[in-house]
Amino acid sequence: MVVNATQRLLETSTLISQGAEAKIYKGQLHPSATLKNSSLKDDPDAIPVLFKYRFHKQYRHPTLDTSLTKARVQGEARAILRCLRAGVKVPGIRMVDAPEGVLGIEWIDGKSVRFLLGGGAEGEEEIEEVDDAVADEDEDSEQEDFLRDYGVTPDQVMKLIGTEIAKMHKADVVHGDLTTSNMMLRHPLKAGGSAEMVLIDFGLAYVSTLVEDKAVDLYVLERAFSSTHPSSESLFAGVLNAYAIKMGKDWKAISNRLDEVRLRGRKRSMLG
Amino acid sequence: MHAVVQPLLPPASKTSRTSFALSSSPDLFHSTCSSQIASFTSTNLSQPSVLRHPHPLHGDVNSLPPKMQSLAYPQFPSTTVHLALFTHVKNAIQLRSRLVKAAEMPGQEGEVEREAVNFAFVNAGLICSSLHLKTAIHRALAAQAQNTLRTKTVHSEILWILNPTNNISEAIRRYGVSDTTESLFVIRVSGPDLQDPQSKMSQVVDGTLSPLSDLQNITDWASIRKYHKLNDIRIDDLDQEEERQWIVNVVTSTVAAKDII
Repeated sequence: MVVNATQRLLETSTLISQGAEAKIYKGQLHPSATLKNSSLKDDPDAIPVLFKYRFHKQYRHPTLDTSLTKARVQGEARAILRCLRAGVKVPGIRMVDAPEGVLGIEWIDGKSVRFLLGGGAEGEEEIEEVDDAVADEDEDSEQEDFLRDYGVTPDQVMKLIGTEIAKMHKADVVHGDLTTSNMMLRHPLKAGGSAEMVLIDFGLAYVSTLVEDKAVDLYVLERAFSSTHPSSESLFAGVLNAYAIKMGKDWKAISNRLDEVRLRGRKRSMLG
Repeated sequence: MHAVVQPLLPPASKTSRTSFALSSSPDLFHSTCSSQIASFTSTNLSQPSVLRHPHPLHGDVNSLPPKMQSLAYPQFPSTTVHLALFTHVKNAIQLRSRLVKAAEMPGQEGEVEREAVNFAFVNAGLICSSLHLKTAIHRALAAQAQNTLRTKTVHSEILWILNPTNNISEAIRRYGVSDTTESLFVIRVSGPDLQDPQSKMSQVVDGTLSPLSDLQNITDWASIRKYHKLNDIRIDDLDQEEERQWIVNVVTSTVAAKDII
């Protein structure tokens, strides 16, 4: 089998995490210049890149597998780009090799909101784009310290979440898998002053203007909150408040629809 | 304590004159040694250093002159990328016509001339960070490796990738040399054993070799906004520095995702 450049790139990278759909690697895209006294102060060569590799699925017909993988990598990259242009805080794209199923994105130095709120480590079955899966055997009591290290209170985190989701929905991007593990706080030292909320994993994202889709997006997050952070369920109101402020006049319709969705669940009625 | 540290730092401390001489040696550009000290030592032993003319603005022996960067990508083992920034370029008009002529020159003479100008000349004003440029270079190398070049050469491919639209001549017009260009990135994608690319560059471009960090004074943010259609987008509460970081991220991502837009 011919080894191509992208496969070699992954071989030189470190596997961080694996899910059912993809493997996550940390690596370098650009070599350091042979010049050591590089004239660049913030040498971008030293910045790591995260690779999300949608590996070959043996259970699918090869033709179908190739086209699905390609379409998903493209879809994820397009959603990220759309968010970026709208000013939503998402990791920037650094490399795309759709036929190989590899997406290289900006490395975010930080922790997932799930971890910081004391939701514990990510389950093995889930895919994750963060580095916290490696080292977090810490006690729950230490979570407060972590949050303090990031210089934010839980309420501020909720506000950041609500604002960022509202910005994303204003750009008509629906995330499709909003959970606290798919949000990261960039460490204040790396973000330049204050902690920064970054939305990650746009693998299920799509573009939609429908109120229904945005309401379901919020509902999914609400459910995720109550299951991963049962003790801090009341915090979710803070998310909605910030969301409502950022959405302005569009909030009313989404709020009404969210109430409907809560009654019936995220799937629409099968009747009629 | 001091006496212990001193011998470990030959380039920086007492032998700065020697290191200056060595740094001009072409051998270093090809060296992919992981340790700088090791590479200095090996250069020192294997090859007598050749002192070339000191740089006019950087004649001070205590500061190393700006140099071309050479990048060896592990994922593209048969290629090396040589990259340099020239400012105060005076021969942009001649350079452009020379490039056009070289493309049409017949016979042996044409081959020689095409080899002499076998570089990508990128208008540095439209580059907002070295990550931006390197992302484009990486993308072009990948296209070359996969035989999916959309333009004729890997060098023109870099220009095409930098431009957010699919129009090749527009890309060359905007991102290549124009008559008014004063700052140029000169890029050469070659095999690992190209002889002295830096002097080949200097023979073609009449300008000042500058450190890549000078880019921050060159970038033309207004044109970048215009070409990437970012003028109508207003992001709330960003100061100028944050806004520029945002532009860098958008532009770099657009370049990285070139083949799927």
